[in-house]
Parts: sequence; structure tokens; C-alpha cells
Amino acid sequence: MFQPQSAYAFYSPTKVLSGNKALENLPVELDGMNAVKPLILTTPVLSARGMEKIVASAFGDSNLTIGVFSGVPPQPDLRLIRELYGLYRDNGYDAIIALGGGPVLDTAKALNIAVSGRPEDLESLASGNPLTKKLRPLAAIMNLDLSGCEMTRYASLGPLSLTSPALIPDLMIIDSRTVPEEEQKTMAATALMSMTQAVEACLHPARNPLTDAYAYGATRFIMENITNVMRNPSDRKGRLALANAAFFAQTSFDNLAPGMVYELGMAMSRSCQTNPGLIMGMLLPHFLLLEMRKETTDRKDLYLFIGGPEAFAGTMAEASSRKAVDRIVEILLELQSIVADFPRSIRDLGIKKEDLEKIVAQGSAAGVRGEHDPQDIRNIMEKAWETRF
Amino acid sequence: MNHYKEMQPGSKPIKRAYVALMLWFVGRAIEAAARVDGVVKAEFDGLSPGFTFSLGVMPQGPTMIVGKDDQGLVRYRGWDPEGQKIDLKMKIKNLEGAILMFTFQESTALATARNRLIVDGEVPAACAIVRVLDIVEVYLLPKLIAKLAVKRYPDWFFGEKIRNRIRIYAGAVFGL
Repeated sequence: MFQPQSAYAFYSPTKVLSGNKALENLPVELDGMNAVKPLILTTPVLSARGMEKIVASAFGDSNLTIGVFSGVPPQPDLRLIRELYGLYRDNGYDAIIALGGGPVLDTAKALNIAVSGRPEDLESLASGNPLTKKLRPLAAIMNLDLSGCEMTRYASLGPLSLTSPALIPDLMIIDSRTVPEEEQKTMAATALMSMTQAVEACLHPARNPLTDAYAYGATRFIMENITNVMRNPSDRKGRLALANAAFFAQTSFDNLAPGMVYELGMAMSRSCQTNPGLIMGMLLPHFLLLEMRKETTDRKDLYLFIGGPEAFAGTMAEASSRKAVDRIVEILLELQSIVADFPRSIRDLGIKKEDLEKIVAQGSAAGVRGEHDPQDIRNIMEKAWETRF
Repeated sequence: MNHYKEMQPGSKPIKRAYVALMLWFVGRAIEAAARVDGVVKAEFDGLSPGFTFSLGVMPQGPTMIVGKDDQGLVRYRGWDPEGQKIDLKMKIKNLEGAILMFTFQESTALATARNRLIVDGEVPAACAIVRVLDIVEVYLLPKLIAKLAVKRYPDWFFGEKIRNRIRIYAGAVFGL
């Protein structure tokens, strides 16, 4: 039966521009948001790779003046935001463009809070007070080196965790020129994180038709493109598909509470300084097997998302969930054969067995405690530690 | 502050000049086609008296303006919208989008679907103008290129197409 739940809510305020020459729409889109002087934030690495010049050239013939700050560090802090606040105010900027993922978006979101009100609003929001002022326009230009929270309401700045729907960027641009080839392992990690967000959204008890639609888009984009892009990183359409998948997955994730694998991946990543996407990829099959064994989910069509409509239609209902897990394991095995140093287990990522208990006990996976049985968490982590795909 | 600079991105004069030339040529070709081709004439007859439209590139042109005069004849009215009452404004969002259209890599319909155009005016009038543009492109371009530029290449009688094409080129180039 295709019927919505009795009540649900879904929020995604982002305008998406994806494809050939999407970047050139920036001036007119900013104009539509009453912005005429944007400040572009990016990292020294992306700047050195020429990304900043590509974005600047999109403003050719627009008569706009733009500012570029290309010094966003991997760990942005409040001191940087205060410096950028002065720069933004003194030079009359009226919009922010974040070029790149992770720390760039964290910086852009935090700066947007500061310049739309006062820098003190950051601490205020981190302590749980809501934002009272409408934020200035924020555009995000996505690539494939992502933290998983770029297009969501979450940002972190050192010890500050910022959460507000107002932080979600107004505009997202995915242009093949600004989704450059990254290291295979980085692209694989981003895709696996998106996959985890989408699959957990599929199985989430509070899922709704719109989170399903976004999760379906994300999983199909990933499953149909991930191995092609890893084999041939110059596949521009494939990279564009994976960047789109990240947006789809993050949007479904943003509308539901973070799932167990996501939270565990983030917690383990903090403890062993490894890309969380790789950890999530290793944990995901074990989580799905646990869900299957416990029969806690009423979702019988996960294989539609993972395998696609034709494969799903050709599979007996009782074998469907198992096929979904098998397909994900197949993808992991393919990635191992294509990507150098791709882990076969979370052990390969430097996680020690004694750390597992610590992660549960010390509450570094705080978000999942209470929502999930600690024994389940322990089981999944142990299985992922013992099993080598 | 380190790593900071302010810049004024440059212009793209060659691309602008190419698009300006194409708009000038297409504008004059529409005027000629309205005299020569019955379908184009009928499309304009269906529009309100004095109807004028512009097709231009945001934010600062180039632009072409075409409209009906007091006698109902279709006239190319130059590039400057200043002082002209324009009923329908079709704006290409940026120069690169205009280049894709005027190098016939994208048809008008495809460009619209890909969010490259903004239409400010009545939708039926915009649809009529898109149909006119398609017909004019079929006359102006060799079949191989025109097939890329239009939604459907029409099945016209060859002799009539060539005759009309010569008259439209003469009208567009020499104003005959």
C-alpha cells in the first residue's frame, strides 16, 4: 500500500543546481537572494588545485566583486570566525559561498551565524538557545571529500556543536568542474558514508515518503556509480552522481535522528582518527544482519533501494533482505580489489579490540546509547572487528 | 589577513560579441521570416497588437528586441530595451548558457528544461516565441546543426524551404 503515515514533516530549503555550467548560475542566484558581494571560503589545497579560479571565472561578466579566503584549516576554531567576521563586515560582503566540504562548510555556517547577528550567537546556539535572526545567503559548492553534514542543520567548530535548521545552505551547486578527482579512498569513504545515511534512513522507524524518496535516490546513485568511479576516477558523470547522492543522503539523514551505524562510525573515527565513512562501510553489513535476525524492521523492500527495481522484482520476498546485505558486501569486496589499502575490517583501520568496549563504556557513542541496546552495539562492533570481508 | 584577496572577475568579450552578433542576426531573421513563412506570421498574428519581446543575457545583455508595429508587421527593434514597452522578457541566466544555445549545443526547449532561461511574461506568448525561434533556426541552419537546435525538425517541402531560406537570409543580412 502506498500511503503516507498519519503525520510527518520534512524540511529541505536548499535550491539545487547540478550539471554542466551550473556554476555560472551563481551570480543570478545570489541576485535573487539580494546578495551582490559574496565571500568565497575554501581550503589552501582546493585553492592550489585551481578550484577558486574556476569559481571566480563563473562571475565573469557579472560586474560583481568577490572576496576569496583560501585559508580554511582542517580544524577551524572561534578565533578564525572572529577574524573572518571582521573581514566580512569591513569589506561589505553580503553572502557566503563555501567551496569544499567538511571544515569549509563548518566555517561557513559558523561565520553566517556571526555575521547575521553577533559572534556571541555561536556560543548561545551551542548552549541550546535558538537563533533569532534570519541568516544571510549561504551557497555550497560540493565535492567528493565530505564529512556527511554539509547540507544538514549540523556544524561543529572546535568544542562547539551547532544545530539549527537555519544552518542548511540555501543553494547547492554540483558542477563537474568543482567535483574533481579525489583519492580513490576519499571518494569511496564519502560514498560509503552517504550509503550508510541513506540505508539507515530507509530503516528508520520515523521514515516518511520524502525521506524514502531521497534515500532511494542516494542508494541508486551510489550503487550504479561507485565501482565505475573507483575504476575510472575521470568519469565526470559518475562523480557528479556520487556528489548528488551525498546531497540526497544528507537530506534524508537530516530529517531523521542519526542512526546507529552513523553514530558508531563517528565515535570510532574520533577514537582512531580514521575517515568515518570507511568505518561505516565496514559496520553496515553487520548492522543489517542484526536487523534481519531481530526482525525489528517492517521494511521488506530494502533490496529495491540497494539492488534496483529489476533485481528486486526478480527476487523472492523471503530472500530479499539477505540479497540487500549480500549486494553491499559485494560492493565492499569490489572496492577492496580496486582501491589501494581499502580496509577489509575495522581492525585494518587501527581500531584495537580493547577500544571497542571503551567506545561503548565511555559514552563516545553517546547519541546511540538509550536508543539502541548496548549489547547490539557491542555485537556489531565485535563482528566488524572479527570479520574480514 | 593571509590567504585573502578581493577580485573583480574579468569579462568575456569574445563570447559576448559572438552572442550579440547571433542575437542581431536572429532578430533580423525573425522579422524576415514573419514576412516569408506563413506559420511564423500566424504565430505573431495570434499575439496581442503591439506585442514586443526581448531575448537577452543576464545581467547586462546583449539583448535583441522584436515586436509588432502599428500595422501588425514584425520588426527587429535593436538591442536597447531603454524606453521600449516589452511584454515578454526571455532572459538567459548567464553568458555561458547563451553560448550553449547559440552554438546549438542545446535547443531552446532543452535550455529551458535545464533552468538556463527566465521568462517574464505570459507563458502562451513565450511558447509561441519558442516555436518561432525553432522555425527561424531551421531556416538559418543546415539540417545537421538545426536538428540539434530544435525540438523536432519539420518535414518541409525541400524547394519551399530553400526558397524561404534565401529570402530570410537576404532579409537578415541586407534588410531586403
